[in-house]
Amino acid sequence: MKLIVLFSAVIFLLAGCGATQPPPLYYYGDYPATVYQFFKSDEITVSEQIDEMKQVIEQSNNNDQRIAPGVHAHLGMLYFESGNPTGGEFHFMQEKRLFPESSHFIDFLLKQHKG
Amino acid sequence: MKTFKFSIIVMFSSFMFGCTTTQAPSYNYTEFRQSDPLSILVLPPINNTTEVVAPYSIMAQVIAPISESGFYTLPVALVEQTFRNNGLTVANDIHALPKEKLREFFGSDAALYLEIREYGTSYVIISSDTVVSVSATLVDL
Repeated sequence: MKLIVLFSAVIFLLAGCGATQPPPLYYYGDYPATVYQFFKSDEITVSEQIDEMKQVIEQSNNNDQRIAPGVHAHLGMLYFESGNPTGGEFHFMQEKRLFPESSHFIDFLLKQHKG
Repeated sequence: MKTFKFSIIVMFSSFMFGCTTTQAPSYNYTEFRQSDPLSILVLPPINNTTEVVAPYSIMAQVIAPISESGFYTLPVALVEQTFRNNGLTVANDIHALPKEKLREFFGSDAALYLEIREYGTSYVIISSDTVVSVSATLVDL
């Protein structure tokens, strides 16, 4: 009896503090890490960064989680840098579609790349 | 029996202690709520430390907490590149830009001005401490 009460007390104690966390809104994967590498710009090449970002998008689809804001825009920028404007534009448009708040900035960027 | 009772009391009190969270000093959010920004532009942080990579790391790390709070975080790398393409590479200069210019380029509701105060590990005789401290100001655009 003594043991049971003690045991349940311990369980209660442990459960009490495990506040139920809401699931994250978005999937980030290696996006922050890739941003860091992009800034440092001496560790991995642009095409490796593109592969990493493509992986983030793929993983978010597999996990059925929404992709984090900025991921498509970041990948688009990397495509533009690597000399692939078609890919760049495609991912810029994806960002705009998923996050209408970005449209002003994305339009500005597209205009710069075209002009 | 005595020890049993005692252990229950200890359990209970530790349970009560376990869940007290240190309450942050209350802050007046009235203006923030009134403004209700949807998108936040994170400007390249001013670096007051000797660590060169500090701004990179801070910019990469702020994306998730801001986005998870429900704001659209403008893609930090693109923001930095836009400044660079316009000849702005020093954070102090960027922070001094007029708000109208920021609005014109980025179209965001608010801008976050960051200043890094501490970054890295300091060694004090036997133990070491890794501390990152950043001050931030959120401003309506």
